[in-house]
Amino acid sequence: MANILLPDYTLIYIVALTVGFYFIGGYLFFMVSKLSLKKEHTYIGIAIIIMSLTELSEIIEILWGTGNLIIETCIIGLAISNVLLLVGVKRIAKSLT
Amino acid sequence: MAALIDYVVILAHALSTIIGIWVAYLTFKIAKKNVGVSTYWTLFSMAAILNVTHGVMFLIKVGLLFNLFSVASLMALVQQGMALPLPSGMYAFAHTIFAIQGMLFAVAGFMMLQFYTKLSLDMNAMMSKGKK
Repeated sequence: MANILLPDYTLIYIVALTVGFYFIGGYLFFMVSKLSLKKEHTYIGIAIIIMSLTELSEIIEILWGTGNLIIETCIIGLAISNVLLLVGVKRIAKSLT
Repeated sequence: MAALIDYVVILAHALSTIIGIWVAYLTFKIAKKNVGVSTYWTLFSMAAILNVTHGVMFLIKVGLLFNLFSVASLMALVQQGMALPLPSGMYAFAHTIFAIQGMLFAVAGFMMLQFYTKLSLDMNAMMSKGKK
């Protein structure tokens, strides 16, 4: 029988948990931006949603092994999301202090 | 092309780390000044500081942790096209930290939502009082 390599399910569970948490976090920040009427929270929400998409790509990679290109693209996406996070927090810091 | 992507990935990891530390510093600063929502900001800064994990992954990937002062070996690794996969245990560990980061973001978002819901309810109550 051929050797079938099963994906690491523990890792998938951990990454799935991360996707869920990020998604909930991003969604909550969108809700906050609706309530607070501040654009800054939308930036943070988008940043966290991009983070969740990045982690989702990790699951795709682990399950189907599409090559490193998706992950590499998403790491760049992660950097972009961090920039968005910084923009949001900087604006909030400016308005609060 | 592959080498170029690797360089971009290294830069992205480094950028994520630097920005993570910057965001954490800013949020700690805000938390200090804003007493009302300081817990939320502290949680947020804790989540931001976890971005340092990217830096750790980046360092391991580049091989700096193993060859700290050997620039030649570092350059050789980069020229090889970063063919240095992270150990799977390290990979799982990094993702566990990301899960914690996500949880902190979610809790911070929940707290912020609670704060603003309370604020808007109070404002509505005041408005209705004013109308009467």
